[in-house]
Amino acid sequence: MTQAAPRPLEDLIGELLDGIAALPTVGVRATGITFDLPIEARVDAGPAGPLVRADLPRTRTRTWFDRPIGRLSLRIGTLPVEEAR
Amino acid sequence: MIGETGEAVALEDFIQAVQSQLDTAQARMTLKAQNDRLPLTFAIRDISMDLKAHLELNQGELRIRPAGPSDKDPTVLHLVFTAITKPMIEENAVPLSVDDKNDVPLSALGDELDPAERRRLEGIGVRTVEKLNELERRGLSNSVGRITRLAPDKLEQVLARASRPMVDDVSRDGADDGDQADALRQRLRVKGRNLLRGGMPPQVTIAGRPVDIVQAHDHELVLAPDRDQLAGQMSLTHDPRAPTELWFDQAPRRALSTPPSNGFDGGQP
Repeated sequence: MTQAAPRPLEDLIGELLDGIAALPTVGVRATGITFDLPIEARVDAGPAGPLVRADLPRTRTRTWFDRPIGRLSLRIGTLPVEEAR
Repeated sequence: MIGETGEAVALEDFIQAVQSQLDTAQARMTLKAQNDRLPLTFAIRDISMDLKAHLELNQGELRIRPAGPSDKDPTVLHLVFTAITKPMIEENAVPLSVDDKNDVPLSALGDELDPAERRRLEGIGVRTVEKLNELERRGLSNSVGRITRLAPDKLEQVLARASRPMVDDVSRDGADDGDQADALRQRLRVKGRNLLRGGMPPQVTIAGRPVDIVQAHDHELVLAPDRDQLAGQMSLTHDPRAPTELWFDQAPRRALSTPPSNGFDGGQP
Protein backbone atom coordinates (compact mmCIF):
# COMPACT_ATOMS: atom_id res chain seq x y z
CA MET A 1 0.00 0.00 0.00
CA THR A 2 1.44 3.38 -0.96
CA GLN A 3 1.05 6.34 1.36
CA ALA A 4 0.13 9.83 0.20
CA ALA A 5 2.97 12.35 0.25
CA PRO A 6 2.93 14.81 3.16
CA ARG A 7 1.36 18.17 2.36
CA PRO A 8 3.45 21.18 1.37
CA LEU A 9 4.44 23.19 4.44
CA GLU A 10 2.19 26.12 3.52
CA ASP A 11 -0.85 23.84 3.36
CA LEU A 12 -0.19 22.57 6.89
CA ILE A 13 0.21 26.13 8.19
CA GLY A 14 -2.84 27.26 6.22
CA GLU A 15 -4.95 24.58 7.86
CA LEU A 16 -3.73 25.55 11.33
CA LEU A 17 -4.51 29.21 10.59
CA ASP A 18 -7.93 28.27 9.20
CA GLY A 19 -8.69 26.52 12.46
CA ILE A 20 -8.16 29.67 14.49
CA ALA A 21 -9.53 32.18 11.96
CA ALA A 22 -13.03 31.18 13.01
CA LEU A 23 -12.55 32.84 16.41
CA PRO A 24 -15.07 35.63 17.22
CA THR A 25 -14.11 39.05 15.89
CA VAL A 26 -15.68 41.04 18.74
CA GLY A 27 -15.33 40.76 22.49
CA VAL A 28 -12.46 39.01 24.20
CA ARG A 29 -10.42 37.07 21.71
CA ALA A 30 -7.11 35.31 21.45
CA THR A 31 -4.31 37.50 20.15
CA GLY A 32 -1.62 34.89 19.96
CA ILE A 33 -1.31 31.15 19.65
CA THR A 34 1.75 28.92 19.65
CA PHE A 35 1.77 25.48 18.11
CA ASP A 36 4.48 22.98 18.89
CA LEU A 37 3.91 20.01 16.62
CA PRO A 38 5.68 16.82 15.70
CA ILE A 39 6.13 16.67 11.95
CA GLU A 40 7.29 14.37 9.22
CA ALA A 41 9.32 16.52 6.84
CA ARG A 42 10.96 15.89 3.53
CA VAL A 43 12.10 17.89 0.52
CA ASP A 44 10.83 17.21 -2.98
CA ALA A 45 11.72 18.77 -6.31
CA GLY A 46 8.94 21.28 -7.02
CA PRO A 47 8.18 23.15 -10.24
CA ALA A 48 10.13 26.21 -9.07
CA GLY A 49 12.81 24.62 -6.92
CA PRO A 50 12.79 22.59 -3.73
CA LEU A 51 9.39 22.03 -2.13
CA VAL A 52 9.34 21.41 1.61
CA ARG A 53 6.67 18.96 2.66
CA ALA A 54 5.70 18.77 6.32
CA ASP A 55 2.75 17.06 7.91
CA LEU A 56 1.63 15.59 11.18
CA PRO A 57 2.83 12.01 11.68
CA ARG A 58 0.38 9.57 10.21
CA THR A 59 0.83 7.03 12.98
CA ARG A 60 1.29 7.27 16.75
CA THR A 61 3.98 4.63 16.83
CA ARG A 62 7.05 4.55 14.65
CA THR A 63 8.58 1.67 12.78
CA TRP A 64 11.90 1.24 10.99
CA PHE A 65 10.10 2.19 7.79
CA ASP A 66 8.97 5.60 9.01
CA ARG A 67 10.96 8.81 8.77
CA PRO A 68 12.27 10.31 11.99
CA ILE A 69 10.02 12.88 13.60
CA GLY A 70 10.97 16.54 13.47
CA ARG A 71 9.37 19.44 15.24
CA LEU A 72 7.59 22.59 14.10
CA SER A 73 7.02 25.48 16.45
CA LEU A 74 4.74 28.17 15.09
CA ARG A 75 3.89 31.41 16.88
CA ILE A 76 0.96 33.33 15.48
CA GLY A 77 -0.33 36.75 16.46
CA THR A 78 -3.04 39.09 15.26
CA LEU A 79 -2.34 41.93 12.88
CA PRO A 80 -4.58 44.54 11.24
CA VAL A 81 -5.29 43.43 7.67
CA GLU A 82 -3.93 46.73 6.33
CA GLU A 83 -0.50 45.98 7.82
CA ALA A 84 -0.45 42.42 6.53
CA ARG A 85 -0.73 43.50 2.87
CA MET B 1 12.30 13.39 -5.30
CA ILE B 2 15.17 14.84 -3.41
CA GLY B 3 14.16 13.43 -0.06
CA GLU B 4 13.26 9.99 -1.33
CA THR B 5 16.25 9.29 -3.48
CA GLY B 6 18.78 10.62 -1.02
CA GLU B 7 19.91 13.56 -3.17
CA ALA B 8 20.98 16.56 -1.16
CA VAL B 9 19.75 20.13 -1.58
CA ALA B 10 21.77 23.28 -0.91
CA LEU B 11 20.95 24.68 2.52
CA GLU B 12 20.30 28.15 1.12
CA ASP B 13 17.92 26.72 -1.49
CA PHE B 14 16.12 24.88 1.30
CA ILE B 15 15.86 28.04 3.40
CA GLN B 16 14.61 30.05 0.43
CA ALA B 17 12.01 27.37 -0.27
CA VAL B 18 10.74 27.53 3.33
CA GLN B 19 10.65 31.34 3.21
CA SER B 20 8.73 31.31 -0.04
CA GLN B 21 6.24 28.76 1.32
CA LEU B 22 5.74 30.79 4.52
CA ASP B 23 5.07 33.88 2.39
CA THR B 24 2.50 31.87 0.46
CA ALA B 25 0.79 30.79 3.68
CA GLN B 26 0.71 34.39 4.92
CA ALA B 27 -0.57 35.74 1.61
CA ARG B 28 -3.41 33.20 1.63
CA MET B 29 -4.38 34.23 5.16
CA THR B 30 -4.36 37.93 4.28
CA LEU B 31 -6.47 37.34 1.17
CA LYS B 32 -8.95 35.33 3.20
CA ALA B 33 -9.25 38.14 5.77
CA GLN B 34 -9.73 40.70 2.99
CA ASN B 35 -12.39 38.61 1.28
CA ASP B 36 -14.21 38.02 4.59
CA ARG B 37 -13.84 41.75 5.42
CA LEU B 38 -12.15 40.97 8.73
CA PRO B 39 -10.39 43.87 10.48
CA LEU B 40 -7.70 41.61 11.91
CA THR B 41 -5.84 38.67 10.49
CA PHE B 42 -3.56 36.13 12.04
CA ALA B 43 0.03 36.55 11.00
CA ILE B 44 3.04 34.32 11.47
CA ARG B 45 5.27 35.95 14.09
CA ASP B 46 7.98 33.35 14.00
CA ILE B 47 8.42 29.74 13.23
CA SER B 48 11.11 27.24 14.13
CA MET B 49 11.73 23.82 12.68
CA ASP B 50 13.77 20.95 14.00
CA LEU B 51 14.69 18.94 10.96
CA LYS B 52 16.63 15.70 11.15
CA ALA B 53 19.00 15.59 8.24
CA HIS B 54 22.48 14.70 7.08
CA LEU B 55 24.86 17.50 6.24
CA GLU B 56 27.31 17.39 3.36
CA LEU B 57 29.97 19.95 2.54
CA ASN B 58 30.73 19.96 -1.17
CA GLN B 59 33.15 22.56 -2.63
CA GLY B 60 32.22 25.13 -0.02
CA GLU B 61 28.50 24.52 -0.40
CA LEU B 62 26.55 23.17 2.55
CA ARG B 63 23.93 20.68 1.45
CA ILE B 64 21.34 18.83 3.48
CA ARG B 65 19.59 15.55 2.95
CA PRO B 66 16.53 14.95 5.15
CA ALA B 67 16.99 11.79 7.19
CA GLY B 68 15.22 8.75 5.83
CA PRO B 69 13.77 5.76 7.66
CA SER B 70 16.28 3.97 9.92
CA ASP B 71 18.99 6.58 9.29
CA LYS B 72 21.39 6.51 12.23
CA ASP B 73 22.54 9.62 14.09
CA PRO B 74 21.12 12.36 11.92
CA THR B 75 22.00 15.97 12.58
CA VAL B 76 19.23 18.09 14.05
CA LEU B 77 18.93 21.39 12.21
CA HIS B 78 17.16 24.02 14.26
CA LEU B 79 15.90 26.67 11.85
CA VAL B 80 14.23 29.84 13.09
CA PHE B 81 12.30 32.21 10.85
CA THR B 82 10.81 35.46 11.98
CA ALA B 83 8.54 37.97 10.27
CA ILE B 84 10.40 40.89 8.77
CA THR B 85 8.48 44.15 8.84
CA LYS B 86 8.51 46.71 6.05
CA PRO B 87 10.47 49.29 8.12
CA MET B 88 13.17 46.65 8.77
CA ILE B 89 13.47 46.00 5.04
CA GLU B 90 13.66 49.69 4.22
CA GLU B 91 16.32 50.20 6.85
CA ASN B 92 18.59 47.39 5.69
CA ALA B 93 18.00 46.64 2.03
CA VAL B 94 19.36 48.29 -1.08
CA PRO B 95 16.35 50.10 -2.55
CA LEU B 96 15.34 48.84 -5.95
CA SER B 97 12.42 49.89 -8.10
CA VAL B 98 9.24 47.83 -8.01
CA ASP B 99 8.58 45.54 -10.98
CA ASP B 100 6.51 47.14 -13.72
CA LYS B 101 3.91 44.96 -15.42
CA ASN B 102 5.52 45.81 -18.77
CA ASP B 103 8.93 44.57 -17.64
CA VAL B 104 10.30 41.53 -19.42
CA PRO B 105 10.62 38.42 -17.25
CA LEU B 106 13.99 36.70 -16.95
CA SER B 107 12.48 33.70 -18.73
CA ALA B 108 12.51 35.83 -21.92
CA LEU B 109 16.31 35.44 -21.97
CA GLY B 110 15.80 31.87 -23.12
CA ASP B 111 18.68 29.53 -22.44
CA GLU B 112 21.02 32.21 -21.11
CA LEU B 113 20.01 31.28 -17.56
CA ASP B 114 19.21 27.74 -16.51
CA PRO B 115 16.22 27.26 -14.17
CA ALA B 116 18.39 27.01 -11.04
CA GLU B 117 20.24 30.25 -11.86
CA ARG B 118 16.96 32.01 -12.59
CA ARG B 119 15.53 30.75 -9.30
CA ARG B 120 18.53 32.08 -7.37
CA LEU B 121 18.09 35.52 -8.97
CA GLU B 122 14.37 35.45 -8.22
CA GLY B 123 15.27 34.54 -4.66
CA ILE B 124 16.85 37.97 -4.23
CA GLY B 125 13.94 39.72 -5.94
CA VAL B 126 15.40 39.94 -9.45
CA ARG B 127 12.54 38.71 -11.63
CA THR B 128 12.86 40.94 -14.67
CA VAL B 129 15.43 41.98 -17.23
CA GLU B 130 14.94 45.61 -16.18
CA LYS B 131 15.81 44.76 -12.57
CA LEU B 132 18.96 43.01 -13.77
CA ASN B 133 19.94 46.08 -15.78
CA GLU B 134 19.24 48.28 -12.77
CA LEU B 135 21.64 46.22 -10.67
CA GLU B 136 24.34 46.69 -13.30
CA ARG B 137 23.74 50.45 -13.44
CA ARG B 138 24.06 50.61 -9.65
CA GLY B 139 27.36 48.70 -9.74
CA LEU B 140 25.93 45.74 -7.83
CA SER B 141 26.78 43.05 -10.37
CA ASN B 142 29.64 41.61 -8.34
CA SER B 143 27.53 41.39 -5.19
CA VAL B 144 24.73 39.73 -7.11
CA GLY B 145 27.15 37.27 -8.67
CA ARG B 146 28.54 36.35 -5.26
CA ILE B 147 25.14 35.99 -3.60
CA THR B 148 23.59 33.98 -6.42
CA ARG B 149 26.74 31.97 -7.24
CA LEU B 150 26.66 33.18 -10.85
CA ALA B 151 30.16 33.42 -12.33
CA PRO B 152 31.16 37.03 -13.17
CA ASP B 153 31.58 36.25 -16.88
CA LYS B 154 28.21 34.48 -16.94
CA LEU B 155 26.49 37.46 -15.34
CA GLU B 156 28.26 39.83 -17.74
CA GLN B 157 27.14 37.69 -20.66
CA VAL B 158 23.55 37.66 -19.38
CA LEU B 159 23.59 41.42 -18.82
CA ALA B 160 24.95 42.05 -22.33
CA ARG B 161 22.20 39.85 -23.73
CA ALA B 162 19.59 41.50 -21.51
CA SER B 163 20.48 45.01 -22.69
CA ARG B 164 20.60 44.11 -26.39
CA PRO B 165 17.84 45.50 -28.58
CA MET B 166 14.94 43.03 -28.65
CA VAL B 167 12.69 43.15 -31.71
CA ASP B 168 9.08 41.98 -31.49
CA ASP B 169 7.76 43.18 -34.84
CA VAL B 170 8.83 44.78 -38.13
CA SER B 171 6.15 46.39 -40.30
CA ARG B 172 6.05 48.70 -43.30
CA ASP B 173 4.17 51.96 -43.77
CA GLY B 174 2.89 52.52 -47.29
CA ALA B 175 0.71 50.71 -49.82
CA ASP B 176 1.87 47.79 -51.98
CA ASP B 177 0.57 49.37 -55.18
CA GLY B 178 2.03 52.84 -54.67
CA ASP B 179 4.05 54.69 -57.27
CA GLN B 180 7.78 55.37 -57.16
CA ALA B 181 7.32 58.50 -55.02
CA ASP B 182 5.45 56.39 -52.43
CA ALA B 183 8.23 53.86 -52.51
CA LEU B 184 10.72 56.56 -51.60
CA ARG B 185 8.62 57.58 -48.61
CA GLN B 186 8.26 54.07 -47.30
CA ARG B 187 9.11 53.56 -43.69
CA LEU B 188 9.86 50.50 -41.59
CA ARG B 189 8.56 50.41 -38.02
CA VAL B 190 10.62 48.26 -35.69
CA LYS B 191 8.85 47.53 -32.42
CA GLY B 192 10.57 46.00 -29.43
CA ARG B 193 12.52 46.84 -26.29
CA ASN B 194 15.91 48.26 -25.35
CA LEU B 195 15.92 50.23 -28.61
CA LEU B 196 17.59 53.21 -26.92
CA ARG B 197 20.67 53.02 -24.75
CA GLY B 198 21.60 56.18 -22.91
CA GLY B 199 19.03 57.97 -25.08
CA MET B 200 20.82 56.92 -28.29
CA PRO B 201 19.38 54.60 -30.95
CA PRO B 202 21.38 51.61 -32.18
CA GLN B 203 23.24 51.51 -35.48
CA VAL B 204 20.90 49.83 -37.93
CA THR B 205 21.97 48.06 -41.10
CA ILE B 206 19.90 46.14 -43.61
CA ALA B 207 21.65 43.86 -46.08
CA GLY B 208 24.94 45.20 -44.76
CA ARG B 209 24.17 48.87 -45.51
CA PRO B 210 23.29 51.53 -42.94
CA VAL B 211 19.71 52.76 -42.70
CA ASP B 212 18.59 56.24 -41.64
CA ILE B 213 16.57 56.45 -38.45
CA VAL B 214 13.88 59.12 -38.63
CA GLN B 215 12.29 58.52 -35.21
CA ALA B 216 13.57 56.70 -32.14
CA HIS B 217 11.82 55.68 -28.96
CA ASP B 218 12.75 52.93 -26.54
CA HIS B 219 9.89 50.77 -27.88
CA GLU B 220 9.88 51.81 -31.53
CA LEU B 221 12.23 52.90 -34.30
CA VAL B 222 11.06 54.36 -37.59
CA LEU B 223 13.54 53.66 -40.39
CA ALA B 224 13.86 55.18 -43.86
CA PRO B 225 15.16 52.27 -45.96
CA ASP B 226 16.19 52.33 -49.61
CA ARG B 227 13.86 50.55 -52.03
CA ASP B 228 16.00 47.43 -51.94
CA GLN B 229 16.13 47.36 -48.16
CA LEU B 230 12.59 46.19 -47.49
CA ALA B 231 13.73 42.61 -46.96
CA GLY B 232 16.85 40.89 -45.79
CA GLN B 233 18.96 40.73 -42.69
CA MET B 234 18.59 43.60 -40.23
CA SER B 235 21.22 44.23 -37.61
CA LEU B 236 20.75 46.56 -34.61
CA THR B 237 23.88 47.32 -32.64
CA HIS B 238 24.56 49.26 -29.46
CA ASP B 239 27.60 47.18 -28.63
CA PRO B 240 29.50 45.54 -31.54
CA ARG B 241 30.08 42.49 -29.30
CA ALA B 242 26.34 41.84 -28.95
CA PRO B 243 24.40 42.77 -32.11
CA THR B 244 20.79 41.79 -32.61
CA GLU B 245 20.21 40.23 -36.00
CA LEU B 246 16.99 39.15 -37.64
CA TRP B 247 15.60 38.30 -41.05
CA PHE B 248 12.50 40.06 -42.29
CA ASP B 249 10.56 40.53 -45.53
CA GLN B 250 8.36 43.57 -46.07
CA ALA B 251 8.86 43.83 -49.83
CA PRO B 252 5.65 44.87 -51.66
CA ARG B 253 3.53 42.04 -52.99
CA ARG B 254 2.55 43.02 -56.57
CA ALA B 255 -0.31 41.35 -58.46
CA LEU B 256 0.49 39.65 -61.75
CA SER B 257 -0.08 42.25 -64.51
CA THR B 258 0.26 40.09 -67.64
CA PRO B 259 -2.39 37.44 -68.29
CA PRO B 260 -1.16 33.87 -68.56
CA SER B 261 -0.56 32.58 -72.09
CA ASN B 262 -3.41 30.05 -71.84
CA GLY B 263 -5.90 32.90 -71.37
CA PHE B 264 -7.06 31.77 -67.95
CA ASP B 265 -7.49 34.91 -65.89
CA GLY B 266 -7.97 33.24 -62.54
CA GLY B 267 -11.54 34.54 -62.20
CA GLN B 268 -14.53 32.46 -61.07
CA PRO B 269 -16.76 31.04 -63.87
